Amino acid sequence: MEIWHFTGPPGSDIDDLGFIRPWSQYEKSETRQNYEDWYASYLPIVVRRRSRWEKENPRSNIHLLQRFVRKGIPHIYRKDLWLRNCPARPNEKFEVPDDVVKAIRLDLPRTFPDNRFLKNEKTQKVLGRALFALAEHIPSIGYCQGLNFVAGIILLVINDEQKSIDLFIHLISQRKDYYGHNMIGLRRDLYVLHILMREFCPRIIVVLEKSDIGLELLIGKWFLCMFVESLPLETVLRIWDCLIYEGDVWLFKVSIILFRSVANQISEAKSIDQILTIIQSIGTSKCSLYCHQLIIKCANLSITGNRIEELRAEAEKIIV
Amino acid sequence: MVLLGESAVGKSSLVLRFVKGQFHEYQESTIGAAFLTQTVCLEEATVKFEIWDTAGQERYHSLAPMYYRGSQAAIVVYDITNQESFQKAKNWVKELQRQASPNIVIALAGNKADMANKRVVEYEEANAYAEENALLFMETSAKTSMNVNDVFMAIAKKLPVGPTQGQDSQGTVDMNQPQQQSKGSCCK
Repeated sequence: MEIWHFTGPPGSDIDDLGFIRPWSQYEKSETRQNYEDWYASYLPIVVRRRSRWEKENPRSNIHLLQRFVRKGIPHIYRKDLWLRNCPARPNEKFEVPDDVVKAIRLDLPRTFPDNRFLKNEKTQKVLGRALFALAEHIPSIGYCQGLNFVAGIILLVINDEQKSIDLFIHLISQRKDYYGHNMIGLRRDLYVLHILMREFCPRIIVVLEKSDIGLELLIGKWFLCMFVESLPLETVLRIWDCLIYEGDVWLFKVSIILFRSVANQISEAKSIDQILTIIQSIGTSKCSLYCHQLIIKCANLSITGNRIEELRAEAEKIIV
Repeated sequence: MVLLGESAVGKSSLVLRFVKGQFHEYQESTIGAAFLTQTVCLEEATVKFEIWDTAGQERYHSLAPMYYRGSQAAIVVYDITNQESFQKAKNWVKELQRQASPNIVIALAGNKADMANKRVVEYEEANAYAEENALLFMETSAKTSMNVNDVFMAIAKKLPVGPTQGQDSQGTVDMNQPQQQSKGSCCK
């Protein structure tokens, strides 16, 4: 069950971001059929959104903009919109230890190795500089595996080294305690998610608690990589649109909707093995592919940023 | 079972070779951990491997006990061309001996055996260490598939047949039961 990153029309070999079509031209497979069906339903939405953006130019009206962002930033505007509120990185830098440099180097060819651009040594060096810059600016992180995928996606979308680095550092500095040496922020937020799941998906949490499976084990990666490498790329981009504009609350919203999509399966699961397999298959499920519908469901969940902050404060007392 | 070892020694590649028969020169870095299963038949029993493939980076270490605490078996992997990775492997073995279930079967795998011209960890050295610590030991190559199935099979043969000892299984799903063995028809 591998996650594909390909986002373009099903007929092309490589998409705009350099990801390869996950099936061969002549192959008839269920995955391909699913993708084609989804794309046929998604394309009219994309076309309609783009014409609405051009007609109504939502940039000047904050409320209108939020609505428009949730419905998907058209690909040609995504770069500008992602960078819109992004500050330049601070001047202050720290020395980067050798072992951090070594760890970064090791992961460069292991970051989307099939991507047409990242296969290229030159682009890998750009990725290396982005990861190095983060280590220089946030010494409490240095380098954490998973950041390579986040930086990779930013580079591919922004396609400008300096601006990519600014955005990368900006995004990661907002949740830097996820990636530090004890990953305390990650554990805190997964505890928060656990509490929210008791409210929003009680049936699932009962099964998980009974089986003694921690959320870290199941979905730590969702939070660390902001769903990159766990969901189809178009879905990731749509989630990032919201995440960049509205913040971490979207990590929780998306996780809850994804869990809900497999609630019945999980309640019927008979073993840990089955639960794990169900969770791992979420990334290729219909729920995660149909990103427009997924975002609408998330938007309708009544969880606010304030609620998250309250729960975090509570969690911090418990997580050491 | 769980795979442990330093970053980029080939943990995911060994699992991928064993489960799917594939190999990628550049295997994507594992974040957190991945879970895979593979069913194989021994002479008299079918064994289902439930495998946690973990991230190698030091900071993910704090999550590792969740994966190994109930495991019946572990493969600790190092890279024969990297001395430091062998040292890290020894640390993992120590941690398992201290923290994991006392009956855990541990195998030590010296991976990247196809790169013998760059070897820095000698076979004899690792073998002696394995003997001292009562570990299964093999040099493996996920690339050429040398000894890959063998190391998993060697572990399977050392595991007790039948339900795991000391676990209650009163209708609940039990994390501490990563191996289910049943006598019966062979899978192929």
